[in-house]
Amino acid sequence: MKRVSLFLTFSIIFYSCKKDLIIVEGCTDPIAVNWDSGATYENGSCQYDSNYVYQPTPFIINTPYGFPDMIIPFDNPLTVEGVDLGKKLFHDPILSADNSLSCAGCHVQNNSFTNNTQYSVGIDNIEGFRNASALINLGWNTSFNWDGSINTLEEQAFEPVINPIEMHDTWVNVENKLNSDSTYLNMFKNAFNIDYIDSNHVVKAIAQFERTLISVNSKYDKWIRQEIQLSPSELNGYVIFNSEKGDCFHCHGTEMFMDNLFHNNGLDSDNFTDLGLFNITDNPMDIAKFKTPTLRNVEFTAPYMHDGRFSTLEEVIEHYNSGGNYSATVDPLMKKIGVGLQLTNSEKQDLLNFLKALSDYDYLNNP
Amino acid sequence: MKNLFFPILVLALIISSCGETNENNDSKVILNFNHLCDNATLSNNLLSHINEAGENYNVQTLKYILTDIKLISDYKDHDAVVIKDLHFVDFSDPSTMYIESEVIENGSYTLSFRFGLHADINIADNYTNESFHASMDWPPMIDPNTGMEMGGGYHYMKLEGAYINDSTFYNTHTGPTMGMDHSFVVNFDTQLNIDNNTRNLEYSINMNINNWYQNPNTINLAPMIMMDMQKQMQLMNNGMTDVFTLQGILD
Repeated sequence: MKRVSLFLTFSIIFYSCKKDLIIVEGCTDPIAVNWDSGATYENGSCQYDSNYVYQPTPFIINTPYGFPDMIIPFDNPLTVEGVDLGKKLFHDPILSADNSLSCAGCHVQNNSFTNNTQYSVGIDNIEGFRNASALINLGWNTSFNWDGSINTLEEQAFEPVINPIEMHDTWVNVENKLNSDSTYLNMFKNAFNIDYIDSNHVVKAIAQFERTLISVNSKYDKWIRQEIQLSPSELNGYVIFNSEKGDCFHCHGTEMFMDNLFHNNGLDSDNFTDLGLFNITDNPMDIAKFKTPTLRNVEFTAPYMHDGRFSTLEEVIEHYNSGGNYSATVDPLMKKIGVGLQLTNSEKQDLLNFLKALSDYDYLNNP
Repeated sequence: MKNLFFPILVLALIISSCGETNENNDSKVILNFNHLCDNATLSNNLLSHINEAGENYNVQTLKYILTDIKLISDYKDHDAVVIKDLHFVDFSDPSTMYIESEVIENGSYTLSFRFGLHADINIADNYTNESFHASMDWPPMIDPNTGMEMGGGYHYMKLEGAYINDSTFYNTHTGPTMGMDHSFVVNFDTQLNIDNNTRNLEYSINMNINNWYQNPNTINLAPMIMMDMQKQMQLMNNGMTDVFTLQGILD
């Protein structure tokens, strides 16, 4: 009798489990010619095209005039398939816990891949504490985030997904979601020749896409290429920018319009709320130093500074024109604290016009 | 005769092997870059240094480019031995304060380098992949108002800090002001002798910051130095005179 009871118990458990777990046998490999996207159990029936060879198409970056060679990790070369995949991931809210926020949610292409708010808001309606950086020519950056806390784009892409005030997801959850999506399985197979999607390959794909975000078609670039002429006001602004008069070029120099370095540009006196680079290095000489952003497309990336305190470029120019505030680590390039550049209104307008000549409208709309 | 063959052979081999050892020295020249204000190490906060013009100052940034660092043989028909074509010194980066030559052949040499870049190679965006590209860039520009050439290429040196008080800053930037070549060659008289008994030769190239501002020209930090052709000329002359000295380091 006891045996019968035991048999019945197991039978009931087995039956109920079977009801919950619907097993669909078939070929689960996206690369197979008879791949069944609805199959949940690999039954060994996969058949392959004997001609299939994993051979992604290299994505060639043409180094723009005056730029260094792009920094590309040897273990993540750019491919057409990888870039396409990264672009899809960048725009897909699947990376957030409630599937509501994508990378593009805060890095909006129309705003040169930033947004126009002082601080971005995550899925839990919690506001961040630094202004979202514009994503332009990232492949030439040697560090990322305002405080330089990250050294590679791959490393950077890990962060927002699990940040509680951003996407607030877990990588295990993201991996599960992606692995249950047949389109992603197929794209990852083509890009990286993998059958199981993991976080390392997700960030690799996003980094590949981000390296293709290149902006070098502004009015300034066309002038450098001798395709057009700058207006007299823009030309005068260019001279102010690149001479001691405006002294912008010492930090925002080269064709990249940034120096990959960190500076305290006199925003505040001591008692800082954000210690910047110091948080990473623990060196008192780095207090209140932040990474120099590129000025390309600066017209579209308001508000400005690490904390988005300035709403307009006019306010930014006025900050330098009045000399800023002294603190122990303020950069010597801020030569006359409290005095500033002393540009005339006309000169300030010329400088502003030159900054707007750095706008690349194609970058806001290109696919 | 047979009795003499083997002793002679052995002796010949010994002499031959001794000769090879003598020619096979592995001496290198090691150069350290050292920076002082007279005899004091550089201060980046207190205004503890004082220049010939009587201005107190400190040093917060010091970056410069040396080119054509080479050993010139006493034998006039020998080619110079290039230690490094291009070297960027950044006072905040210890890894830039030291260079080492390849193995140097026996001989007697003097050391030479150019401070900055000669006009032939100081061309805008000529060194985009060098570590100094972004921080030493000097954009080429024709002033549309005057038609005058300004800059173009790379700074030779950025020397910055505070003077007078903590919140007044000087920027001593040297480079191709107004398109002119203000780089200069430094030759040291010191003989570097390398023979079979020489181990590595280690020297310190000392830069005395104060000497940029004196001898023969007394230069004020105020009001500014960049874009001032006369001060750039004066800095060049001061630099050639006694800013750099070579000091042997005994191991």
